[in-house]
Amino acid sequence: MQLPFAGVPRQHLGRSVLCAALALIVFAVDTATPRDIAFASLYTLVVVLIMQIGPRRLIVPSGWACAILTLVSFPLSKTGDYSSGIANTAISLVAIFGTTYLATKIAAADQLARDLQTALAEASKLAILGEFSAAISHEVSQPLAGIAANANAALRWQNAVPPNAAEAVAALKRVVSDAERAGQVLDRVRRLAKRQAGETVDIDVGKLVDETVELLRVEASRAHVELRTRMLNLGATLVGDPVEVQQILLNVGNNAIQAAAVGRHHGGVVLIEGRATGGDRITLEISDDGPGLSPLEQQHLFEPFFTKKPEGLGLGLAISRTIAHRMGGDITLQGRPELGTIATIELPRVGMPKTDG
Amino acid sequence: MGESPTVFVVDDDPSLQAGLDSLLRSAGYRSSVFASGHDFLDALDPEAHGCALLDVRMREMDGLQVQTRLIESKIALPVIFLTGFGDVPMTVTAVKKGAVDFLLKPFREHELLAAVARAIDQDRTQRADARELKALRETYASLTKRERQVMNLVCRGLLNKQVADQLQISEVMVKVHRGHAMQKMGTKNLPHLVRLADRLAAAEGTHSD
Repeated sequence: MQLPFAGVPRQHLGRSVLCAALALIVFAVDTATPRDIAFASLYTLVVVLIMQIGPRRLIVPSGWACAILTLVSFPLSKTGDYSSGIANTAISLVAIFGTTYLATKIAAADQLARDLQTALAEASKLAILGEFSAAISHEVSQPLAGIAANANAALRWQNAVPPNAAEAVAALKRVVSDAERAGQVLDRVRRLAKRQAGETVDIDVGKLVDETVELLRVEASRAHVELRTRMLNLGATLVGDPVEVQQILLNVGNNAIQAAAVGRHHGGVVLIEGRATGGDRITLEISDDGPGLSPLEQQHLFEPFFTKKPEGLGLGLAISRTIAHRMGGDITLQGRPELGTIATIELPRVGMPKTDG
Repeated sequence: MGESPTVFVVDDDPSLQAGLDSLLRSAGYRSSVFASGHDFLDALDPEAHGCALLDVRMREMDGLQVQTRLIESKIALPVIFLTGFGDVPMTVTAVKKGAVDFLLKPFREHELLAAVARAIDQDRTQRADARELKALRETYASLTKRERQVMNLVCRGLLNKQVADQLQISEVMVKVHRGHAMQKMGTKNLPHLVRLADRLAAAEGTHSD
């Protein structure tokens, strides 16, 4: 028979040894105590411990191992009433198998919850993709419209009688500069696309913020909100998945823009401020001058499906916080009614700020 | 009055603005460009004729706001919108408020020139109509009170005799007033006179001032 702990990864080994030690202690005490004391029921603790800290696939083998130890210890125990000993052993076995069954159910439910969370994160990536497409489409259509208008104008000036070369050349120069502008947009898109989701790399925070702000500008200009950035001492790098960090910034940034636009046509301001704090953390603050948060909103904003927006899903902040937590950071929202909201994104930093420019 | 129509281009993208200007001029139009709605509205002569080419999405004042201000100032300049991706709801609003046309960026040359031609045509028709109506009103105002009474009753379908009865005057006098009224209104037959009266009545209905 294969050992239940064979092939266990190194990080699980210590925990497995702990569980085994606990099982042996229960075995020793169970053997030493009289038969009619149902000490073997404490094997359930071993199963629960494995469920909590061990790999999921060890739950059932550990249940069986505990059952076998219970049976082995019965003939080894020398004292105590024999028949009540049998009854107590049976009760212990039922407790062990019952606990094992429940433990597998709980572990399966945990797994399901994790899978759903991953699926949610994927769904939000799709939403981000939609936003990307809108931003790209807008940014490319602008120079394209310029190219079409200018090129047609150049043709007409050239075909006019007599041809007007000066006008044609001026129009063609604008065609060239618009083509360059469109090329720059595509370069940016290509840089974004090159990154694979799930990839962990060194992220230049300042650069990432700049790129994200470019994407946010479309929404900002639509909402007539002014977008300002202030980056202090951000030569620092983060280690993480840039797509995920960008996802956080886009989610929180879009919320801020929408909040700043609430109830007015013009004049909303969103400020994105970044700085390295406390040596090992990077803080990004996104503040808006919108209506702020009510106590109720403050309490529930991070819960999935809680939303203030009629068209919103209520997932942006929940997912952003999940990502931040996974990276070892956090997001907090501080709002006072009528004074706006400050979202603080804190992420652990790796690497020191560059001293030179 | 004899001035040729002007296309007013309002767009905050310098290259597109210059391109539109160049394209319109190369096609023989007069064009006047503005980088913002404010600049345009400040410089606009209320009597200007032609059409306006407005970008829906601009930083300071969007195209819809410019259109609203034109309507508020009772400037009937036809408006064409340039729209981008994702501006559909705004565009719908614009069309409901009477925009002549909208062009999705990037647009084709012939689409743009056709839209401009249609808008200028509409402006010309509107202005001709307005001029005619103004002349008609002036003529109508030049009739005597009696002539106006006779004209209105005749146009309602009453016979000379019935008009005479109602106004307590002789049928001969009705004929005389009727003749004068028709002469002043510049018409020789009754159906035409009725049409002119209808047009005046319709205009009174819309212009309650």
